[in-house]
Amino acid sequence: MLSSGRGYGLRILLYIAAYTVPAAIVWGLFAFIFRFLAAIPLLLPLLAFAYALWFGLNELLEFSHIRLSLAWQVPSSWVKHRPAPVQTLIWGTALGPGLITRNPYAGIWLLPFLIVLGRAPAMALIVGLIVGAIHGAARAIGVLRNRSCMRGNVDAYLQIMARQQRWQYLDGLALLLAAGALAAYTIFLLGGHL
Amino acid sequence: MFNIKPLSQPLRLSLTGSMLICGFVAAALLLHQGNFASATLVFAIGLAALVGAGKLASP
Repeated sequence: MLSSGRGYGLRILLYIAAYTVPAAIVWGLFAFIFRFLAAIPLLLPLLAFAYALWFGLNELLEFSHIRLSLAWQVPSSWVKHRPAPVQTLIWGTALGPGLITRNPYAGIWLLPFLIVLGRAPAMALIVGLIVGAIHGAARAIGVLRNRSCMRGNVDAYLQIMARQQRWQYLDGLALLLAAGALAAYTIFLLGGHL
Repeated sequence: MFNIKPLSQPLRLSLTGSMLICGFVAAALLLHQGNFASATLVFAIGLAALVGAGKLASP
């Protein structure tokens, strides 16, 4: 779809933008909705701590296979027989925000907590837009990278699967780091001396 | 070539403890310095990039 040649750089930029812009909008809206929960004292830090601890342990120690992820995928009828730019826009809108499609990393659902935690509503909105844009851009770059790996390489899918397992460890480590930090933050909010 | 050597259980357990302690200590220091919100922003950006880029290619 994105063959090299004239205008290749521009096509790549537009492809990344198709993921980034919807993701920023969706995560901005998410921050706007989630900020109401921030008004309840201690609710978000405690929920975020419990979530990060449980799923961090789960991803690193692999004691259960529970995933908070939807199995939905973009139906082929949505993209079949459509021009390439429309296909890209559909993929970008569905996959860029990363909330409705299958996600192997539990870290994604810690992000709504981190966006609003201890922030004023306007700041939470800005952080939501930034986090969404970063997620969308990273997703688009990941897709492009995986595609270039797959070109002419029969073992590419296995390599990607192996990489995913490595990243799952990393995600687990990040969640546990966050759990430790959120424990300290909760104690701090309760007036404890650290 | 494609097998990821699974981490041994003792290594996983020590990583688990280390991460929890590191997070706790780092947050305590950041809260003292008043930089906790900025640090959570940087962390959230890193996590968003990780979970975004790490997903399998569908299209």
